[in-house]
Order: sequence, then structure tokens, then C-alpha cells
Amino acid sequence: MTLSFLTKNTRWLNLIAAVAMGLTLFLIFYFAPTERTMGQVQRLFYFHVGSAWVSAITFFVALICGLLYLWKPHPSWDKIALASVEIGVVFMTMTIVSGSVWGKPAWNTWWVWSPRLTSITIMWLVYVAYFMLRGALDDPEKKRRFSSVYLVAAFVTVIITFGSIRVLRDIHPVMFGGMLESAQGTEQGLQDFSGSGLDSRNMGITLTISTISFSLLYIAWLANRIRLQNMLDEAARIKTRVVSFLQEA
Amino acid sequence: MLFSQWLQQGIDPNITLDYLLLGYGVMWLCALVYVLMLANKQRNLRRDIALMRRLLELEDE
Repeated sequence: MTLSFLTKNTRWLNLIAAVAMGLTLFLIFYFAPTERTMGQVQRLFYFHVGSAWVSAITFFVALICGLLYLWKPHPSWDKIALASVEIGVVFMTMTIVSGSVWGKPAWNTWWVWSPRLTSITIMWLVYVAYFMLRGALDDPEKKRRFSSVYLVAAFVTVIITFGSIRVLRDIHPVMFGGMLESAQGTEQGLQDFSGSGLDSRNMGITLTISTISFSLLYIAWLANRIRLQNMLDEAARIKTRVVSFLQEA
Repeated sequence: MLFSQWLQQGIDPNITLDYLLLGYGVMWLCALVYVLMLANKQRNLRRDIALMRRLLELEDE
């Protein structure tokens, strides 16, 4: 299996991602209308949802790579999984931070231990612990195998986070695919726009473009991170030779 | 109904502008720190690999 397509085209991928993010910013600030109730802060929504969506994708990619590694062990699967989780944690951090900043004017608090916010914190911690697991294992083969098993188990937290607001009563709004109307808290007046979709067509277009742009950014970062991993592997190989040379000398 | 509409019309949308700037500022900071970390690691590795290759060339000589 080769990842050369990604690693050889990092410059192009970076450029495409940069242009897409620039376009997204333009749409957010000049195309999307100002939300009536929340005002300007609602514009955080496009980045908040975009980064949340992509972090779920990164963890899904990591899950698939983990399963593929367990099925047919090849270091490339582990490489993609590692890069994906690292990027996913960055996107998840962005999601949590933007949500907290949005929460202050919307809910009058930076943080509440609601099911969604609690489950997303657990999810973040579980994926951060993935790096601790890798750091604790020296044998490369064992590291890859254990990490793959861990990724399969860790994805449960993504499912719980996605489902929490759809099953449990929560202050966090459900934008897509709400199942239980009562669970969303609309009857209690906990949120303004749950279940009703986006206010305008322009908001929908901006959100779609934002999600695509974040996906492109993920691909660009993934290519860069895999290239870095290739360099790390190469450095480790050369280091072994240098050490043996210095010992002989 | 009319009262709530009147209330909503009266809200200044720019009242939450500070939070918007804070949110985007922190998010871009996260992204920037990660990109700089990647770039820094790549630069250091490139230098290390070049140095080690030079050492191995010395060995060959």
C-alpha cells in the first residue's frame, strides 16, 4: 500500500485547503445572515459544526484503519490512524473551545455538565489517552496492535457523544436527525432552533461549504502528518546505522 | 407573539461580537499552534537526517 499520492502533493493540498478556508471565512462574514436571537456570535456555529464533523470523520478513519490493521497488519494503517487521531484531537479541541465561548452568551455559562458536554469531554480524554498508550509501549508491533484494539474500543465514545443529545434531555441543540422531540428540551424552552433546521438558505450553503472546507483541511493536514511520520521512520532507520558506525569507531 | 417579536427586534446583534472574536481567535490559535508544531518538527527532522547522512558518507569514505 502506498501513501505517496498524499505525501507528494502536500503543497497542492495545503493550497486547496487554504483557499477553501478563505472562501468559508468570506461566506461566514459576508454571505450568511446575522442570526436574529443570538446575533454575531452565531457565526461561530459554522466553524463549531465543521470542526466537530471532521473530528468525527477522523476518529471514524482511525477506527477503519485499526480494524484493517487487525485484519491485515501493515504499518501504513497504523500511520494513518495515528495521524488521524492527532488531527481529530486538534479539531475536537477547537470544537470544545468554540462551543464554550458560544455557550457564555447563549446559556449564560461557559460550561455545564450536560450529557453532550460530559460525553465530549470523555471522548477527548479517551483519544488523548491513545497517545499515552503508544508512548508506554516500546515494541513497535505490539504498539501498533494494542493501539488498533484501543481505537476500536474508543469509537464507542464517538457514538455515545453523537447519540447523547438525541436520546437524553440536553441544553445542547440537535441540528440534524433529532429522534425524540421531548429529549431536545424544546418544550422546556431550553433552545431556540432545535429540530427546525437552519434559518435561511444562505446559512445552509455556508454550513455545507464550511464542512467541505474542514474536510479538505483534514486531508491536507493528514498528508503533512503522514509525511512527518515517514521522516521520523527514516530518521530512526538512519540513526540505527549511525549508532553502529559510531560504536565501531 | 408580537411582544416577543418586538423584543427580538430590539436586540443589538453586535452585543455578542466580543465572543465571536474570542471564539475565532482561540480556534485559529489552536490551528496555528498545530501547524507550527508540524512545520517545526519537519524542519528539525530534515536537519537531523541531513546531518546523519553526512556522517554515513564519512563512514563510506
